[in-house]
Amino acid sequence: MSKNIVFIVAIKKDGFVKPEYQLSINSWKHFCDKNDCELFLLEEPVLPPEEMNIILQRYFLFDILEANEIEYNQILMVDADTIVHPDCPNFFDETEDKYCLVHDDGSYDWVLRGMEHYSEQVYDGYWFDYTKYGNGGFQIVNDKHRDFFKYMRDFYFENADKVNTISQTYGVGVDQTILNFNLNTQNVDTKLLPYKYNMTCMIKKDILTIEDMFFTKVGWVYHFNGIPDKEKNVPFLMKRTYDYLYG
Amino acid sequence: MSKNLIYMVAIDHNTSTYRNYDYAQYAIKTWEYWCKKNEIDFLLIDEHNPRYKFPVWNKDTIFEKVGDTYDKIGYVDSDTMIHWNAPNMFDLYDDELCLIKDYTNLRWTYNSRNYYQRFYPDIKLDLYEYYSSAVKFFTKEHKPIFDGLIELYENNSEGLDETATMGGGKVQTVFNYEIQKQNIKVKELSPIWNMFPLTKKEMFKNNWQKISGGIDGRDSTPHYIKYSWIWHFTGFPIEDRTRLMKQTWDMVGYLYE
Repeated sequence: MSKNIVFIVAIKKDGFVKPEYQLSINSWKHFCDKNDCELFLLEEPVLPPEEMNIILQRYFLFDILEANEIEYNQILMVDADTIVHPDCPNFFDETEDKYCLVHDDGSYDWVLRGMEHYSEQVYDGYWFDYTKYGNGGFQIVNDKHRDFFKYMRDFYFENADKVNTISQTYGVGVDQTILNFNLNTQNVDTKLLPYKYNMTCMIKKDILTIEDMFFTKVGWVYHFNGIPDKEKNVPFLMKRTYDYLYG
Repeated sequence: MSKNLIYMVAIDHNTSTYRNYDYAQYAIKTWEYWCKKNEIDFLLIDEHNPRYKFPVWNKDTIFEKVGDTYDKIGYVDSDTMIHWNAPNMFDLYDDELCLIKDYTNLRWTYNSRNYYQRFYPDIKLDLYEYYSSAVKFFTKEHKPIFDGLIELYENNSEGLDETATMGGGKVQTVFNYEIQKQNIKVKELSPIWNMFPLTKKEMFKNNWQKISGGIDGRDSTPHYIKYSWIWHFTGFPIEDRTRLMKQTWDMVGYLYE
């Protein structure tokens, strides 16, 4: 039987992956070994970044796996600024074969402003339930979603100017809001998994405390986003977390 | 008589640092309007039952007050306000206990779960199946939950009152333990029916960037008013509560006339 895959975009710069991303990769390697999954890293972009934002290139997923002759069952696409707990349950068992995400309620201001701008300028006023809006940093998909990924890419190329303008003008992100709009307009059957599988905005939730590592007691996948002075703090927090859990 | 009821506990009591009515007055105005508009009875519990130390426990006495008069009942905290145009929640459920998930303060919940564990030693409470008890809709068939909580207090008043001072709340966690103990079927409602914490979720903000509608292309309406039905003024310093609820009333109060 085909394996489940964990897919991480970890583009090398000057031949190296960022050290904190390597810690993320190490933790996911542990998860894969424990749960009989395969880890796949996208280390080189498919297209030059000026042609397509790197983050959107993950929607080449199925083509990349096919090109590398990798058979798959379900695939987790996860951001490289995450660390998974060594005892994390196998969430692939909880997907019901649906497109799975974790709700993003870290800042409804950011979510709603993004939705309003994209709704008005790209989606002809279309609106969807923002309480079902998922974070793009943890997505579980399967072969049923191959067409949707092509739709995501085509949509971007057809609307690149608008998308890039909105993103740069309003600071409301590139792919996450589009992903959520398109999941809704294309009627993709989705399932929201609990927060414990993608713990975003941990500072806002008052759980990212290193003196007691409290966040490691209340969930499984730690997503180091929404952190101020991130160039300094994210590497520090990820190393501290990795050492605590795996050291 | 209407077969549906909304009730609220709003009691000024010497155990509270801040006078309840100072903020509850704004909550009451919105709920009275909404209930009248939807032909729902509204009951305000404003007298303290001396069997309890803290007034918040009075919400469990609802069936002692109304018996089986009402088929469906909604409880709302006195720091909630309802949108003037909110649909009739009672049309959205049949016989379930309807609640809104609360994982907004995992540290508080984690600690609270531990503090109250001793009253339910055989129950393991899942942090991600934990609900707010500030807004709940149910039916008269759910009376056993409230009976169970009344009995719990009768048998453990000293311990519960002592635990209530530890910083893990007073009634919400025991409510969660009790519904799990009684294996009650829960229907999870969208957070728009109990939107909190408004500060942490940045719902007090508005789209300050250029957008259609609003004045001069700017929409000054805060997100919570545009995008949720029940606004729950909690999760920030309690001294701000009255000010924020008054500000809200000053902004939209004319729409309840």
